[in-house]
Amino acid sequence: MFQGEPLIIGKYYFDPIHQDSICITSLKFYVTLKDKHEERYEDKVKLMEYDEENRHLTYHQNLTDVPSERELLIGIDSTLNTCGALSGDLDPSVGMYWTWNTGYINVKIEGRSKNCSALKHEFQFHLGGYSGKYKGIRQVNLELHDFVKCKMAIELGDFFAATDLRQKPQVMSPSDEGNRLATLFANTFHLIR
Amino acid sequence: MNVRMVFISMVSACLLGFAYPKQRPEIPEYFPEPKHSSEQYSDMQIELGRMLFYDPILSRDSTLSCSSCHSSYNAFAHTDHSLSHGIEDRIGTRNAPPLFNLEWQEKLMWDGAANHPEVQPVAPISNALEMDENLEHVVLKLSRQDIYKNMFASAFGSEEVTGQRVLKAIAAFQLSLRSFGSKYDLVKSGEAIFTAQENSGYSVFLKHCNTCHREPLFSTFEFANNGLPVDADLKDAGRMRITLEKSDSLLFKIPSLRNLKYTAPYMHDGRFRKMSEVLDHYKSGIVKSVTLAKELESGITLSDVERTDLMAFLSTLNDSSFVFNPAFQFPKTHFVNP
Ligand code: HEC
Ligand code: HEC
Repeated sequence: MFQGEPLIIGKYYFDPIHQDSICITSLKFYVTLKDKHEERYEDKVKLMEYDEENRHLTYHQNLTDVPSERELLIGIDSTLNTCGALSGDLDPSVGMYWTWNTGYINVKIEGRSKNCSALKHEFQFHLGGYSGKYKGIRQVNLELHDFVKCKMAIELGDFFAATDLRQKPQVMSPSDEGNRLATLFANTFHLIR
Repeated sequence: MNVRMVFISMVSACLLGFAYPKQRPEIPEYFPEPKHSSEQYSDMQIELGRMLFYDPILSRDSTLSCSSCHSSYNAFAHTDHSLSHGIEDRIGTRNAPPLFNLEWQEKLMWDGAANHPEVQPVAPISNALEMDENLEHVVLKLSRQDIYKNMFASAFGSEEVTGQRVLKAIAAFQLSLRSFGSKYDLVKSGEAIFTAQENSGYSVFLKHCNTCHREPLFSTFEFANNGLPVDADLKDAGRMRITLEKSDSLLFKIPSLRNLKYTAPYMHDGRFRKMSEVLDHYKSGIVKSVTLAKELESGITLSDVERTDLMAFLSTLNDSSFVFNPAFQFPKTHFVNP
């Protein structure tokens, strides 16, 4: 979603805070719903790719019956980042892998905006990192108690309201700004009825 | 189904048994436990990795293979060039390190950028100054070739080419590059003895170099600043590039001192062509800085005799059986019509 409207790839949305017009060209992220104690769970990690054909991203999981033990994660933790080459959605050939410094890109948000200071007005946020100060994985803080099935929305308007594309239109490595944006992105998740 | 797969892999194993010499000599007792053992990979996976390592199909314009920069005759380093040369003669920013005994290394690259041997090859394949390709496209190119379909089937149980399989195979080959056939190793296992000169060189080594270049691997594979002046053009911050910690500024991975005869030029940017220049650096070239290793604060001054003795000892670390091992060389049998 963008400001309450369904997100359309390539469509411009007005951001009143920065007086900017923003369009998204690509949105991809890793999501995992798992039981808290699980340490190796590569089969539960799914790459979500939002595009014209896939406006409704779905994710299925068989978990234990104890809802308080569940967590919803955005990104890849340090264990899966350091255990060698994985397969499926985690295969380093799917394009969510850094090449200059090994590690997964947890979230990719790319697009254009009128005010964006980068070349061709294109912004790119590649968020990741798994060690030291720069850990990119985030837990989504929602009450995941009472659902067997639940619907969620991502409000990118919130993300861009707190991101000035004139200042920092590009994040391509683990950093303080990357950390901030990772938290911001995880906070855009809402439960809907 | 199961039965059939076992049968296939047995047949290929027999064929290979004839065609190739043994690739993995047994690890000697005086070696520590490997961090990433090559024993987890099958001989077929290693053989597939060897083919990929020598195949320019991994580069965008099919001109460059891994072996272009990592030559078996140089213990898989790149001789003559201080900085590596990529496709279309683009010049890289670092010296290609030798490849051997990688099983004992936790992190790869001069700055430790690669956290696991299986994901390291993503870097050279995609680096615009090296092979300038991407893994997705490599997978596509490989899956169009019958010879690779067959090799992937014998190595992994099905013809399917995936990024994971390509990476695992290349890692399998690289990890199989074991080098412990030097005179030093013969002495350690009681099959040879040092000359008097080599023995005194050994003492010099233990006194001045062993804390970082620790035997028997001749490196701790940790990161240190050995006082090289910063190159004004490259301005390479080393380990700090990865960790962004000031305390890691100018730290580089300590290289092994095995096979120095084959691996010149030396250091992360290949600035020294001769060992005499290296020893001159340790004697009088060390630049003081906050992160300089404590052991090197007042340099390492050796008498002329100590210096020649040390050189004599270091030459016992050269392993010609590794450098000339046909199992590690270009797999002629596979590339019939290049
Ligand atoms: C254009 C030259 C070039 C090509 C081609 C190349 N490399 Fe390298 N390789 C280098 C350089 C330079 C480094 C050091 C990079 C650094 O530390 O940042 C390196 C580092 C490495 C290392 C780390 C070794 C260590 O001790 O840390 C490995 C392993 C390696 N390369 C394997 C490969 C593989 C596998 C391929 C083919 C897929 C390949 N290289 C292709 C130049 C090259
Ligand atoms: C404080 C740790 C330390 C000590 C002590 C030390 N070295 Fe080093 N050595 C390093 C580091 C770190 C490098 C890599 C530096 C770089 O490339 O930036 C290195 C690089 C080298 C190289 C280059 C190898 C290659 O493949 O490029 C040689 C040769 C060498 N050292 C020899 C010696 C000798 C001989 C001694 C003892 C007289 C010694 N070193 C003592 C840390 C040390």
